[in-house]
Amino acid sequence: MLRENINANNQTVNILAITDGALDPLVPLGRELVDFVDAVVLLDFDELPIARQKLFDAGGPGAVTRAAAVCAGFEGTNRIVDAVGVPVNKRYYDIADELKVTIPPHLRG
Amino acid sequence: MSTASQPVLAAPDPAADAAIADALANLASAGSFFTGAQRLALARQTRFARGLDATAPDLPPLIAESVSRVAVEAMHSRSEHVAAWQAEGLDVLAFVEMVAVVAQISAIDSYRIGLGVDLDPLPAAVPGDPVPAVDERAVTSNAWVPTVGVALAPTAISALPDEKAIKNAVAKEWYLTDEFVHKYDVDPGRELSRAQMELVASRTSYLNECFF
Repeated sequence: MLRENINANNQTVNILAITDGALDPLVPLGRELVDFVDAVVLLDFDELPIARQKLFDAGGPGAVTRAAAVCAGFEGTNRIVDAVGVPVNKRYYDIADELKVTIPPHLRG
Repeated sequence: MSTASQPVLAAPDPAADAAIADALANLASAGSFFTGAQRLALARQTRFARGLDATAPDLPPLIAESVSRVAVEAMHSRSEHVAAWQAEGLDVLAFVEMVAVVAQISAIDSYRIGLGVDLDPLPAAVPGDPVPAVDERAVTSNAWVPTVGVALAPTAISALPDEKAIKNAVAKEWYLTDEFVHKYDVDPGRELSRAQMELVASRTSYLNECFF
């Protein structure tokens, strides 16, 4: 969806930053958002206060709330689609290749 | 888990809080296949599996195993797990209900963790027997469980309309309604731009080894 959003809005975003946390996503607050998500999803309670503070300093309290909210929504949805075997839509195969991730056979529709 | 000593750095979101309160009340009430007490046990097992609660509830081993897998390694799910569930005499739609409960409490807990506030206390169980609320149009097509129509993220738990509705009620406060998810030229009017929200979503999915 990030790719489709980029195309629709003619933006420059480095989607390789999704799979390589060392890269700059080229989105405002990109580095802070990635670090924050990493700490939340990995339940890294040492890094999380630092990441939250950096996101707050750069984006304000609304950015923290929205990042937590979007991350949380996908924490739920990710579990659902994987647990019930929703196959990956074929239109995402190309972007998986681009990101150098392998869609496992059991999720290929 | 307490973070009370830390200042809260997040903006309040009363609409999200209200949706979460409804979701927690729903979680404590009888569903289609589980009582409120059983659903709360699924939630407690989820927290235990994620290291957010020190005590595991008393659940049958297969159910505890299933909950833990969805809670912490959903990417390792296979059709065989659904088959094993059914081989125990459990309804496949009870599996869907279990997944919905685990996903809901996982999401709510992750939200609170992100905000840096305490986890919501689980409410007391509402007495009552389960009453199946099943969409009779649901059939097994391209996923491991019945869905209404082709199985996609928005339809994954569509066989149980009450579970789908409560999930969507929270999701629309957090992110976008299904109606707008793929309307990329629509400004969501959130504190983050669409690109920023998609970056958060994509990175979350990547870390969960999920291809959605």
